[in-house]
Amino acid sequence: MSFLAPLFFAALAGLAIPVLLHLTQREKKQIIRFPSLMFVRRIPYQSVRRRKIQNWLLLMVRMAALALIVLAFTRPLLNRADVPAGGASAREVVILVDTSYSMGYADRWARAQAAARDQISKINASDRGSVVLFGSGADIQMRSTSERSRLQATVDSAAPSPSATRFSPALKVAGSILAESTLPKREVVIISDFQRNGWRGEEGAKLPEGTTLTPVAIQDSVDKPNLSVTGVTFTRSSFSDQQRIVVTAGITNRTEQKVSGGSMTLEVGGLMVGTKPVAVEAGSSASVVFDPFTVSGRNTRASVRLSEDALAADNTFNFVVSPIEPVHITVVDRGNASSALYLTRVLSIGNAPKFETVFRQPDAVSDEDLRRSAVVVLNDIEVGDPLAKRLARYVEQGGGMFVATGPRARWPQDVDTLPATVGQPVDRTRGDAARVGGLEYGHPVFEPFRAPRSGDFSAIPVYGYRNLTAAMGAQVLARFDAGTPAVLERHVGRGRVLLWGSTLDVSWSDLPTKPVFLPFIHQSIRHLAGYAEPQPWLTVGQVFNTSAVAARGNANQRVVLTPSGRRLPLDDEGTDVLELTEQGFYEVRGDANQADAIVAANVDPAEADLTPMDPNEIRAAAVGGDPESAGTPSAVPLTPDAREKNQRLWWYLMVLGIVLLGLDTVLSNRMAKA
Amino acid sequence: MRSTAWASLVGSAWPSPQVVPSRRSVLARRAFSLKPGRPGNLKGPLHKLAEHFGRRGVLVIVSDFYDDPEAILDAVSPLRFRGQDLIAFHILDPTELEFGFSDAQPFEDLESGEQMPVVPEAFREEYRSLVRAHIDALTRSFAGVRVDYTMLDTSKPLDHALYKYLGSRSKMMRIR
Repeated sequence: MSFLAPLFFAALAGLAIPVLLHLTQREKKQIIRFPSLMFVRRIPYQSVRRRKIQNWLLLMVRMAALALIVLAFTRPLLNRADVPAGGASAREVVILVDTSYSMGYADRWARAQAAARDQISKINASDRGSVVLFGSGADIQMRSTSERSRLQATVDSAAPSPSATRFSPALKVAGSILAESTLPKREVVIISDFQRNGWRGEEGAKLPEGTTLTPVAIQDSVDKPNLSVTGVTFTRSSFSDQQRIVVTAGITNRTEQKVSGGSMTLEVGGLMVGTKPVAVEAGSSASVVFDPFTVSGRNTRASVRLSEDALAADNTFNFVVSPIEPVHITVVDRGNASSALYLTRVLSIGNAPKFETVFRQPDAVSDEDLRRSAVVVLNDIEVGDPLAKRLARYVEQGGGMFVATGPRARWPQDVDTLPATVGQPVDRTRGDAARVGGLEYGHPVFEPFRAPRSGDFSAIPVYGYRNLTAAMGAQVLARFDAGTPAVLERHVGRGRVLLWGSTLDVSWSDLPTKPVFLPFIHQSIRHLAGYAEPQPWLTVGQVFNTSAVAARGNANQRVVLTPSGRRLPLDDEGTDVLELTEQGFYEVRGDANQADAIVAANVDPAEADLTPMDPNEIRAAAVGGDPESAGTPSAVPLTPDAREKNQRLWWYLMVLGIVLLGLDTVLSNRMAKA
Repeated sequence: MRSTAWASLVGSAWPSPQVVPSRRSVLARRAFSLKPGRPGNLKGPLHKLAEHFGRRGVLVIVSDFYDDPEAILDAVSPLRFRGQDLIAFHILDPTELEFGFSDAQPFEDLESGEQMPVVPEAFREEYRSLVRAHIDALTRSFAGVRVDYTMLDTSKPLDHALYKYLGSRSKMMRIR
């Protein structure tokens, strides 16, 4: 035992003062010869005689309490490393086993398990061992135990996962285990195929000083045939009002021999719709184009599969296909073709999404039009009170509305839906035309114009606009040079309203003739319709945001069905994101037990690249020094964490001292009362 | 002191009074050769002295009077009853009056030889009050039996104290 603040022991001298005085007085031998002690005898005994200690117990309690508190201040340190429980040779061994899907190549996994068992068999009774399985993350399966049978069972029950290899998280986990260990020798064993893709440099993975790192490389001398699917692309077309998709799958052969004689199949909705022969030269890529198929419904599962080879996990690629659903738009205008010319042209362009537009005059807008439409565009029209109220309800129920305010725009004042009050027209035909600036680039509508040379609104002359006064809760997204709002947005109920302060034809501005007009209108419509690009697949390790699905179903009833068949309930208190850990299809099911969404999860194609690295590179980064010296374990000083653990004795001493002081108080009170 | 007079020296521890010629040189030599010795008390010797001296005389008692005032009065009462003129000199050292010791240490009673550990600071005030009360009691007791009582502090010059005493005695003699 040592002490971090031994100077506090000087305080113990304070305890000795009364005792020393007592002893000093007692030892004084000089005798005063006095004529008579007659009066001395008459004085009561207590005041004449040297005061004697009346209660030894109380004295001892007080002195012990003060001594313990002083001892606590000295911060006693138990040097457990000096005298370890298991002796000077006891080891803390952390076995890191790579479970990335590349370990499924040929017999790598069986050899990895054998290597792990071999390491476990070397663990003595005085040692402690941990098993950490790692892929893109690291999980401690068995922590710091001397029971070899449990460690063996952990290794036996493990299996390769669909994740990729990342060494850094595994080393950090090993470091945390070793940091808390009090054993004198620390060892890390990495059992892996040591793929180059799994190591991107040091990445802060530093093991505690003195740790021995032993890499056990599970690699193959014989190059076995292996192809991997790197991804798919779609080509969509329409035939007889039905959407058809052509799937093109990419294949890579990273081995040094040509692979031929195999095949690739395409499955859609559980049915095989095509098979193509595959032949890929050594170290090259190829693509397989399948015949078109018709997409019958939303969230259709599809997969491309290669025939069996040495590594099975990268032979399958899953994806979800859905027919592209158009965004329905109702444009309300005066029926004048010229006023809607540019708008019509712009909305007729584009496939992702495709815009299906109907034109209506104000008095011809039906409820069916509003029900079908994701967005309603009011193109400089006078809106009467009944239509305004219907449109207000439409927006509150989740619809989107784009309002262009030219010289004819009117909106009833008692219907509070627009993001601004439409004021008098401002004529800028004389003098300099107005310009649009102050764009809110963080907003989805103007986000595409954020980058330089991606569209300049300030170069567009605006000759006339309506004087807009922003309503409560509205956000100004752009302003005219005079400072008045040019583009505003307001959330009303579940819907949104965008208001442009000028026209969508060339009567008041040159905007329709400028390149920014098309992306401005498309972004506005996408934003108002809540359109998001569908993701055909994700990669294992990524997260899926379930909150987008939550809005459609009963949140308390939703579950996620994993590819392995597990049911993960989702509720309001749960997390919105789901980490994909399995290869296959995840289903998000609502209260009707129907799939609200299907997510395809694929393995990381980069993991299929089995190119190995030199394990010493990791060892040098993790433990430092040259690899030769790193192989000789030596006793190491305790880490700060372990030191802190060994210093906790002061806390107990302090508590005990305080308890004794409390006992002293109780005893004193009882004696005083007695 | 006249040459024809006899003087007696009485020690409180002596078995009987020693009668010596009244020559001053002899008396002084004998008086200065005296040393404090064994423990004693006033009662016995003074009672013997009262029996021994039938004639009236002047009896000077020089003592520290470490005894109970009533016992002292009881000792001198026979002499006073026989008409002896008694003069009591109460001799005290300043340390006996003030008890100005500081360190706690053992004290030895010179008469009994008893040793006692004493912390002077703890009871100095109480000791002083006891001494004052003792002196007051002696003053009252001796005054009651018409014994001239004088407390002599050894730290003060003896001639001053005697002159003061003799002055007061001459006044008292005129009154008597």
